[in-house]
Amino acid sequence: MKIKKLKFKNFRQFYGEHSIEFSTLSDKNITVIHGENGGGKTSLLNAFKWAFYEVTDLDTGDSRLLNKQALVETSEGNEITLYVQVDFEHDGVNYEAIRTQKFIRSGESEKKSGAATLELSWTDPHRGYDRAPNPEVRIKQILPKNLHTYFFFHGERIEKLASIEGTEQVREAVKNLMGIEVVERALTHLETRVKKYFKNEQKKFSSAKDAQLLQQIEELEAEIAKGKKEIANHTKTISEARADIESIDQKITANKETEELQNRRKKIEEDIKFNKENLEKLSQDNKRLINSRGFLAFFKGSAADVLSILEERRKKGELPYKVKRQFIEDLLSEGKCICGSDLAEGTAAYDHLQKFKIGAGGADLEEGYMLTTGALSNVQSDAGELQRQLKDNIKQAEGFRGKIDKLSQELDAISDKLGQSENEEVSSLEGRRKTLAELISSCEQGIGKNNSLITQHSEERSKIEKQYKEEAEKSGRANEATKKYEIACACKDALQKIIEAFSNEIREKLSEKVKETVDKILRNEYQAKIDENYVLRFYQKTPSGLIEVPDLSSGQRVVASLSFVASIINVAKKKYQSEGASEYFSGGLYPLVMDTPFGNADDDHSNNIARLIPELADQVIILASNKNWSSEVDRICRLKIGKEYSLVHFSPNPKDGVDPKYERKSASGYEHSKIEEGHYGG
Amino acid sequence: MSGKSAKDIMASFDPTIKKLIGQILAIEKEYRHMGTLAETNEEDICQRIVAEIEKVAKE
Repeated sequence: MKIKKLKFKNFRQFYGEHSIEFSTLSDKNITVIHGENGGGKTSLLNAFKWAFYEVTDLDTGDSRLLNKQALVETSEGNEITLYVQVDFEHDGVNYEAIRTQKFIRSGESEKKSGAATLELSWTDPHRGYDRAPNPEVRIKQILPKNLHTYFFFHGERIEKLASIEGTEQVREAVKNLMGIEVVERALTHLETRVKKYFKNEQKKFSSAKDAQLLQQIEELEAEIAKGKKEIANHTKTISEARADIESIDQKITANKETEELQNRRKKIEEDIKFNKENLEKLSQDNKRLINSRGFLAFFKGSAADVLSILEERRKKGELPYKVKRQFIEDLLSEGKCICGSDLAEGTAAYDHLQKFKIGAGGADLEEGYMLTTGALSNVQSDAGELQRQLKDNIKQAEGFRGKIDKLSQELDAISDKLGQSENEEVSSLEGRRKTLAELISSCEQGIGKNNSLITQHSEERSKIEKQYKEEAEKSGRANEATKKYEIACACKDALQKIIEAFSNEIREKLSEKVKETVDKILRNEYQAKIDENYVLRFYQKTPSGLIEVPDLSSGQRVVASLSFVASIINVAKKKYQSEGASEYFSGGLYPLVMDTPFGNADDDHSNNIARLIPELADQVIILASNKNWSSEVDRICRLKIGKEYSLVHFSPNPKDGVDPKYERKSASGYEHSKIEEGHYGG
Repeated sequence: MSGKSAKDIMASFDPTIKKLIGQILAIEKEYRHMGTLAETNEEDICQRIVAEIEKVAKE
């Protein structure tokens, strides 16, 4: 995606129509818009957000979208139009997105006249002009809303950004950016309609018995699909509820009266998580022990019985024999006993030894006896050890459960306290939090239930499929329809494997890129990686190794967030540009729009960001105040700047101390801003 | 890289399946920019996929 133009009318401090064209050149990929505070930088950033998603994040305390002058100049009851249009190119198609909101003047204020509308049209090189029937959905597919705070980035308000969470939405959004949704769509088509088509064809050629089996398979598949859908819905609900809880927690922490309780709750929740993880480890350990050595429990009793029988025989002198057969044979062949008696054939002594030889044990019996008693003793001691380990694990698990119960009670007490707070906002937030927590718990149960049903149905389906195949082969009815159905299944299975491999590949590449970016900006003091759940982990390098940094400072957050989004953009760009990528996963080119990007970062970090970000993204739009735009940043970016503008603020009473190039006297008497090409300097 | 890459996985498939997947994805890509598809588009795509599979089954 490359943003070509932003055009708007009566939006915030911009009276009438205005437009900005952005640089789309690859060697001069930066567009800079300079402006002082109040000049309209944040309004421009919000113009993109509003046009695409109908959301704004304004920090001036005035969230009004309609320009005041436009309102005042309209007669009572008349309509005023506000619109924002974004022209952009994506994947070879030129799009025009335009969101319009109409207002009616009502006294000194305005009333919305109907809902805001979004139109999305495009010019496709093959099919020409067309309009999206569902523009909101298409926009979100091109540039996922869940990631918009990163693409439209406000460096000074970084603490207001949602923490860099590994939510399901982020994972899905990243996959969308990489172009995986085309493959997922193919998978859905194969899984549903195509397979169904061939299954119906199979039925036409089947016997009554085969058709019955096919019907059973179909019913099981429908149940499995239903289960998967329910899991996906639960996962989405959990993810949204967690995000809501986080935002509630932030609000409760922001309140001084409740900050301490909320911090205590956060600590307890971490402790519960730690204990639950330990409990899970123990459960895994128990499973491993039972799988590998569980059989010992069944042999312990039998081993004792056999050992006791052997012991009895040993006591009787029967096992192992005191005199070896070989020894008797040697005496008989030498013809002399150890007592000095002659052992000639026919003598009483000879006959006596002969009888003794028959009952004497051989070496194999002796060895067998030793091995058996040894093994049985080991079974007994191993079974004892297994029992001891399991008992020990159960005891530890009880300990963890006890701690979890105690901590949960503390959590409930905190929740009750907050719920009964005299501050109505707090009590209402806590009430909502409680409802969300209950929702999460019920969804988690739902996921567990559906997972177990899916396993059960899948096993049943495999059995019936095998039966169907055998029947069809036996009766020679393995027809062409079955072959087609199997090809569709093979394609579906192959796509599933590819998606899985590709998702892992992307996460690993993303993690490497984030690490590399953070290394470059933070001069090797920190290390970052993205874990398997797409959570960005931040570590400090110390002489004793890496220590995870749970709470980032504002400056670190700027760097972490920029690294995260720049890395996503860069991995998608690399994929887009790599050979053969278009066949399966296209990736894509995405812009980065940054308001006051250097935020709270120090000079060194700002210079590193200025050096690195334009290398990572294909298009960079920077909204900068002169305070942030240092001469060094200007020097670093200068050769890559393709377009440059300045925002001029017109005020009835220009402030003292503000550069007159950026703040001028308003001739109309109304406050407003204009966009002028070029840079007036700091 | 800890596991096999998508490219490696793809290379391990039967050439017929590999070719077919390429054709299926090419069909899907034609409709990518449309966002959520209308019923007629869904029907078109699936009929085209069915036709590709039928061709392969006859070979």
